[in-house]
Amino acid sequence: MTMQETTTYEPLKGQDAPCRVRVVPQNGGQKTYFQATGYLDPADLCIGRPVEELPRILSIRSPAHHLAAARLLDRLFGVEPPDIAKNMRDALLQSLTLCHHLRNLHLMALDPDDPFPDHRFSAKPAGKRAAKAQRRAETIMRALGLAQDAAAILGGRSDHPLTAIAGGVSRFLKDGYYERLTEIAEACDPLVREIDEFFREELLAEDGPLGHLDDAAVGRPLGATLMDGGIILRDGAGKEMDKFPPENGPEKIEVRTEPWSRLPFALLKGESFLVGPLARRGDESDANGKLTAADGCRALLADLITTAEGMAELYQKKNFIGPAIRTVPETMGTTAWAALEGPAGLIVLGATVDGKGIVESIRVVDPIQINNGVRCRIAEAVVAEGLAQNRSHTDIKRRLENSLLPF
Amino acid sequence: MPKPKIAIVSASGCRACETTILDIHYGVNALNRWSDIRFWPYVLGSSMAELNAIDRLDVCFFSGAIATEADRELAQTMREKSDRLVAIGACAAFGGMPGLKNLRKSAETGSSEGDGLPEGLELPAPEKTVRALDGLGGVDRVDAVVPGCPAPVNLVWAAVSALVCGGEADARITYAAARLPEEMVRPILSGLGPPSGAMFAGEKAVCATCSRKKEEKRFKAVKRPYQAYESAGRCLLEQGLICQGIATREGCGGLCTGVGVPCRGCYGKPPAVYDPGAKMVSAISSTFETEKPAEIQKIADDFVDMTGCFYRYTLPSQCMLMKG
Ligand code: SF4
Ligand code: SF4
Ligand code: SF4
Repeated sequence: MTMQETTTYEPLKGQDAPCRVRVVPQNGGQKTYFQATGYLDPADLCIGRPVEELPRILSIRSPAHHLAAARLLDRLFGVEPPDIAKNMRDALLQSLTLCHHLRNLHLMALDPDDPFPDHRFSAKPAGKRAAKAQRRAETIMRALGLAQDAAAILGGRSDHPLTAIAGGVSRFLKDGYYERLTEIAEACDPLVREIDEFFREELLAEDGPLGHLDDAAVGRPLGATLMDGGIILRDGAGKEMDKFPPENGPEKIEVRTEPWSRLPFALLKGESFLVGPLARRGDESDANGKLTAADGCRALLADLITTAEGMAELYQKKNFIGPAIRTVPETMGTTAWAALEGPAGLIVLGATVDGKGIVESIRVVDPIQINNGVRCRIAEAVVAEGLAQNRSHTDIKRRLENSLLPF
Repeated sequence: MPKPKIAIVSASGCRACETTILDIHYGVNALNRWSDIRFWPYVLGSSMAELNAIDRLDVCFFSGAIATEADRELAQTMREKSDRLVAIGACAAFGGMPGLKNLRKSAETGSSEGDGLPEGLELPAPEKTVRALDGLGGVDRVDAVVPGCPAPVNLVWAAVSALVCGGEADARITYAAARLPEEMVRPILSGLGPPSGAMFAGEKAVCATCSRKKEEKRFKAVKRPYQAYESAGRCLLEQGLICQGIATREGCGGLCTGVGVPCRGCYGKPPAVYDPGAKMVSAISSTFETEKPAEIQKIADDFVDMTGCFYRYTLPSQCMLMKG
């Protein structure tokens, strides 16, 4: 089917930046655009601010940006955080990873016809489908509640965390929190395994509500991830193509704007690339060179389990006690770069400051811009498949929403 | 009785305030028991066509600042359709961090529309200055505010319980109301609902609930948070760190100061303060230890980015010099 007039799929569930997919007739066919309609430029918020405020300000982009900005401060001030501070930051990152993945999985699992199932008080017994949907939603919410509790203990609060500062963290944990963290890790593990199971066996099954995530495929993009302090670039088959330090980011990663979207595109070697669970799990790359949203979803699930296992190891009292929580800086540089492998993927930050530590320039390259190109391609593939199959507008929109969420 | 019809929307900000409503976890499913969630683009993908088909909404929870013409139109539509419009979070209430953009001379940033753009790909233009939903220079009147960046779960749920669930969610009201002023709790518990313009937070300053001890009340020198200071125990301001607890409405219980970092004012000013920046300047300068002009000048020279600090979350609505 070819579109005769412009069609819009808007708004798209679960997208952090306001965005839409527009399909415009062009040259007898049609072209699909994934358009961000609003965008907060980090430079507007950061330039002119004291550099030590960046971890708090940049958390507006994602909670993990708080940790990336703290790393930037470590580099700028030339300080190494003590071990317990590193552990607390890593532990916070783990909890944020669970929060991020669970939030996206919750949005994918929502039944559009019964999004908030609550059948305990209903006069009629719930049907099998509704009872299952409720169990799934509640399991995800229980796991999310635990992950948020951990993030609040470690970061001061679960969104817009507070505790990562130059050279370490801002305070020791309170008595009582050590045991709580261990309990949280123990309670998370069976829940994330249950979530993995019902996603794979029920939701992603061929006849399941997310079975369609396998229907539209794009060519496997390049993937980038942070490993041992360096950024590694892999081709679609998972083979390492390049490795470079974060400070080489500006010459390697080009950030391009297009007139039809407010969101810039980050490109490596002139191509769009992918970051996030799928890119960091290079071993799971698909042999047929194709990428589907189902691959993205399965990578989220695998990452969820690995993260919960990591929490079980790290969330032990011995890892959070020691003599110092921060290294107090004595000097300040004028420019610094840092990178972090955040829940949604690689974050690269760079800043220059004046003699008083006031931010003069800032570079933020993160999954929002990096995966923008891949999202465009996924959107194109889903629309093309939907039109070829004569699907309804509502069906294509729902497929688009679920297909974009894993990226 | 029909269930109240509600909408949950975001303009420009992040999604943390909006998702706070999901963060009552099992409770979000129960919300369905008391209300008819008619429009929630972020969670349900609800479209403008669905909104246009709704005549009236009982309550709209609105987060995010007004930074594009699409945000302004959304705010106006929600005001027209909603009996009660509730600003959730510092962005909607005061302009929030996106309002810092108003300090930059080149306010117009982002990609520019080029020639040859295919028809239908036009983008909403950025507003000249970022605005709040409410307050000075805001888009319209709001009926209730839950401040904070992000607005905390307990206060958001106090608002949801009071405005949506009527008398049927007592447990949550009790748990959430612990920090609300009595004048607000009474009408909620009596079933009348919160007074118009209700602020779901305290009335005093953050210092009133901060766990830190004030001892000397003298300000000797400016310290930056990367320098050495006592992370527990003593008032941060007394140690020389710029902490805005004195010019900020309480309700968070001194969340930031409790974890060793200074308050940046995300609940906006308390009612007794006219302008938070002016309050901070007068409060700090009145406690300077020295009276010698040269020494005072030296301390003053060490203050950096006072506007961006004192109005971190409130520039569009509470800075009396920049209102508009
Ligand atoms: S107030 Fe803070 S948390 Fe809420 S939308 Fe704005 S930036 Fe996000
Ligand atoms: S100025 Fe800050 S640290 Fe001091 S008592 Fe007030 S809120 Fe607490
Ligand atoms: S201490 Fe200040 S900045 Fe922190 S949450 Fe409370 S009001 Fe907001």
